Amino acid sequence: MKDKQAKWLDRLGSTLLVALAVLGLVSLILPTMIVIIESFDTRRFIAFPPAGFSLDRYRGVIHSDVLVKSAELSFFCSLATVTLDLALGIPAALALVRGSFRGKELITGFLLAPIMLPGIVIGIAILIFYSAFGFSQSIPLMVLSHVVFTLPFVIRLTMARMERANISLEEAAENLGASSWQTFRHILLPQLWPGIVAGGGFAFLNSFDNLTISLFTAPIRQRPLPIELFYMTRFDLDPRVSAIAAMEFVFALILVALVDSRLRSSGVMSDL
Amino acid sequence: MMSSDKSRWGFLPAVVFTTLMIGLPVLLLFVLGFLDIDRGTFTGKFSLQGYASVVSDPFYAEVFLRTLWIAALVTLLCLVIGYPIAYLFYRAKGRWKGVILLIVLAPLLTSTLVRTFGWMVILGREGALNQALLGLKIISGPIEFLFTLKGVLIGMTQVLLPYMVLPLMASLETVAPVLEEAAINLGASRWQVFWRITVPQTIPGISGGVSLVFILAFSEFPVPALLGGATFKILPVYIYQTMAILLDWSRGAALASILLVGSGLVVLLIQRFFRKITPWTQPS
Repeated sequence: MKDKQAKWLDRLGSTLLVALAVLGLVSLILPTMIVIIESFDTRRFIAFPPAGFSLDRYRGVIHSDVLVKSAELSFFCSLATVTLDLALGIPAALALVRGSFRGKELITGFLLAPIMLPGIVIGIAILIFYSAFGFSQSIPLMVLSHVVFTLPFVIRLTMARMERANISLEEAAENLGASSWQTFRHILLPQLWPGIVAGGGFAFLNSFDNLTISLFTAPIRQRPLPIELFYMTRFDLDPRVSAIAAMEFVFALILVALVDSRLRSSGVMSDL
Repeated sequence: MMSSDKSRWGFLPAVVFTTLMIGLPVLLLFVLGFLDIDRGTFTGKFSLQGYASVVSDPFYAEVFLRTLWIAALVTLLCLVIGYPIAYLFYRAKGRWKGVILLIVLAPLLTSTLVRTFGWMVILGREGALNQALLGLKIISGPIEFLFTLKGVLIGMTQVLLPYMVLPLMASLETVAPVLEEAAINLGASRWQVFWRITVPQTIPGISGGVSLVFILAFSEFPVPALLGGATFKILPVYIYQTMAILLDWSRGAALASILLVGSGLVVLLIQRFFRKITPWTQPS
């Protein structure tokens, strides 16, 4: 009797677990899939399922000066963000892993802390602080504000690779007469590469997609793509958003495919 | 060598940057709630107006409490749906493991705006969900999801779900299968093994996931602003309105400080709670 009850409970429990997991997994991919399907609709409004097939919305995006300009702005700002991230992050990661000095833990904690700050707080704090010193919302301020929340990713992922790098290889290179730049370039950098690529890629996507911080730091007249999309969906549902969404998704897929082979072999995902 | 004197100061530029760009600004954010700012310029006077206007207004207390329970509800939903996903990943073999991981990671590569827009297509009056429910004759008229709490809860749960699943997956990897096998050999049912052996071992992961999702839910802006509408009662939307539309920066600074301190306190409470119920994870 008790056995029967236990079996029944087992079956109910595992059914419930699987049902919840499937519900969750479907909900994770459903919205993106539906947006991509809907982006080929012929109608001038958003409704599902599509009434026919057309590329009108894609034409609408490509022929819109405003949208193309804002996409370009976002792209170059994200590129600048990643460049600054790497320039600041890699030397910091090197020093924090290899160096031994007092307060190392404290400095590491301080540099990684912005991950825990809500975007809205970062945006407002930077806006108010820099307005007080006469800097207004501008492209440089937006780029710097993006570096604030993406730098920790680059530092953390590079540090994780550093910790696994083999120091005796560097010592061997030095003993054989390599300069410290040669050692860094040919021995250490290849070992750090997966962490740098993953950190930089993740920083790029996060900067490219950021809305909350940009709302406070971006210039009023030149809007990055997420702010443009925000206004396009906030006041009325512009159907072209579905085409932009589909293109963004394909863009992200290409970016991932480009770095995937490096990432998969290195298990860098577990460092995230 | 790379650990030579030259490279050991490599962290300095990053420290200077972080101090100037976010350390000092956040420090001043707390102080600014006490200063009199008129449209971006200091009047040079101290005033408690920022904090006082927030604390004395019962409306903000209501918004704060509502934000608190929306964040709590979203966190709970993420845990209830996220744990089974992580568990399925833990039990899955071969190709299925890769498929589940891909589905969990894919949304992190899609922007929140794209996914929010997807939910607008799904949840609208003429949206996919209403069409499906009407077609299956489950409901007789369309349900309003957009610009309601229901829609915001669905959207926020989906957007934050990966941040719950990933720490849980990592935590389940550390579970010792030997203990599960031993329990089964001693006559425990699968259900008992799950609750008494597997789940307790993953409490550090649950604590991490719950803390992370709560912080993110408490400050989430795009999802409630779009799925809930311009006047949805939630703290981040009000902070945005105060700053960008009312241009009341001292009140905005006060609200942002309250948001930061409030979410920090709740996370401390969450972590303390989980430490208390798992005395065995404490280093003795």
